[in-house]
Amino acid sequence: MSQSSGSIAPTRQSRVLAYGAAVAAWTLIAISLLRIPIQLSDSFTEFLATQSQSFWNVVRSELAGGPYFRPLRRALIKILIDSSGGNYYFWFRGFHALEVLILFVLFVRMLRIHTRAGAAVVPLALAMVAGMHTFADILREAFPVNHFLTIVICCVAAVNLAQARPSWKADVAAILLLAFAMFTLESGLLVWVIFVTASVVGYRGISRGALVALTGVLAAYFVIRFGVLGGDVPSFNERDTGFGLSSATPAEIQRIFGANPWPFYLYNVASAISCVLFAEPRSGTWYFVKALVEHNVWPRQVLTVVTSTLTTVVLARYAAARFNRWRRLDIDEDDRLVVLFIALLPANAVFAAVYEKDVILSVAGVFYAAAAAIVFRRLLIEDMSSFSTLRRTAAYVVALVLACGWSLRFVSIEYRLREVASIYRDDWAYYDAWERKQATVHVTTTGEKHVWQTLYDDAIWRRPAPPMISSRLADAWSDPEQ
Amino acid sequence: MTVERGVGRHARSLPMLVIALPPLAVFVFVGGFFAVEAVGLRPLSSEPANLSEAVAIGAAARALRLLAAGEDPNQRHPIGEGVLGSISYQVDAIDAAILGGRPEMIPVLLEHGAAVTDLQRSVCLVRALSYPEVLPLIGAPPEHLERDPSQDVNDALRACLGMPSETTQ
Repeated sequence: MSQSSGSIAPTRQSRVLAYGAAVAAWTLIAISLLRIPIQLSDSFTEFLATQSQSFWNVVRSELAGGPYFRPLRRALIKILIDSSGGNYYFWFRGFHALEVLILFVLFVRMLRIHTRAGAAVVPLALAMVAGMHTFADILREAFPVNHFLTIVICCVAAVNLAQARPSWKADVAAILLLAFAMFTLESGLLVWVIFVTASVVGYRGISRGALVALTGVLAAYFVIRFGVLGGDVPSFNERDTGFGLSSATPAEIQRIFGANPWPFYLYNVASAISCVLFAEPRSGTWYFVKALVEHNVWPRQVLTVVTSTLTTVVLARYAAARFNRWRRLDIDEDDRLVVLFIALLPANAVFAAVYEKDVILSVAGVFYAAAAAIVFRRLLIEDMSSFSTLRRTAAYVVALVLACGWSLRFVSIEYRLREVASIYRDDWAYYDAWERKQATVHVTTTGEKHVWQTLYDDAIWRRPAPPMISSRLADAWSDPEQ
Repeated sequence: MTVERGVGRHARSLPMLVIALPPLAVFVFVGGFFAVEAVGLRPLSSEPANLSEAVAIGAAARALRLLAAGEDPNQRHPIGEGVLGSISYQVDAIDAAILGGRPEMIPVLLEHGAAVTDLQRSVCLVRALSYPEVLPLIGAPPEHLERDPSQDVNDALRACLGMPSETTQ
């Protein structure tokens, strides 16, 4: 953040406070993450698919074409399995917690804290990141590796590189980062969007030559994926998806949009943008509207929708006031992150065109928090001295409502993390019933049996669940998985 | 001059406090909660008190741990008031699974030493709850069950368990 604040404090002190807040928030999240065992569904099969194969076979098996192109996705899992020496819990759950720490540190670094006012918004910004509905599955899903989190880290790291002093090292790192991200998950392509937008808004860390090279890497991706490997894009009717006030089955989606899927894609993209800005719809379903219609609104729905909507209103007011300057590309240091978020939001939403799910929007969600942190600092702290008494009072009320609302959402995610810690353990207890329902899961070899036994023992015996909490108040106010 | 500067500083600090205090307070609250748990206290805990309670709420992992710790699944344990509605029960693990609507627990329990201790009573509970899919799990022949709307479910459950009905209490 710029030095323009009236409340100048030594830069070092402000940064210490900001990183201190990051470590504190991370510690609280990490304690909860480390109480969650590796989950059974969507995880055990990953272990079976990778544990007995060589690293190159794991990568090669992902290069077979088809609708998804993620050659490094399982590679990361393979590296951790081979490094773990059988101590899966420590390596995989530890890796999850470590990734959150890396994200928090890079996030705070991205905010470029120089003043006490800048440091003051960091706890709220971190509460927003952790409490954001698009981030919930990044924390709740105890996959072997949560690749959505990996992509979020890549995107925030991309901004850090763009903010750095220009050097050939930053250029090389940018190219490697893009290659890693896009070969891990399709949404890794957002790293390219970030580098290009960052350059447009005035970050000069990446040279023009490197931007050309990044675009070449991007082009190579499409040539390899669709030209060389004959890949395809995912079909729009592969799975149940939220639509309107409920969810629709693939058959229903096919029946409605089979002849022309474009309205469905547009619905999903618009829903995705709305989901980030207003927390509604969630995964394509308008739960809050449905609850209003049915007169069955939960406090947690009000909390989520009101905090998100009010934050968006503050953001929109700020953007509207600066729009003319931005149009002339007159973008100051602080505004760069706000413009970056505005550019990134539709780009991220495109990845939800076929299948809308909150976690797909986790990148936009984190940049939403960053943009909000900048705007809160400027509108609600620095500019307040020029306000009339009435406007100042209104600004205090808005600031207090937002700070309390997002803080409650932070507590809410802690509550739900405790809940999934029990649910995932119980899933392992029902392993036999789960296995009977799976057509492709067969635990036959000694290696597979060893993996199963280790994960099962970790979940049931070695890592007891945290005490269950029953609180009607917490249930009413904390956002469950949607 | 000094006073003015002091007032100005406070005016600048107030919005910072408004923004920073709620999340910091929440960090302290969550951290304090973890600290209290670390010393062995259990605020807001809803841990099941015994095997039957664990089974009734579907806490399968906890149930396995209690079984491993030596709890007898065939012995009746109390299910406290509030766990399954306003009534308290005294049931074995299989009947707790039926009462709690946790049929998925039954195979897990049978595999770990539980037995249907009184088939007639278990079937009675299944009938009271109109829960026919549980019958094969407890080794009873399939039946077509339809709930009698005139009969109070709680009274029917009490009758199965030999408890006095609410009206006679």
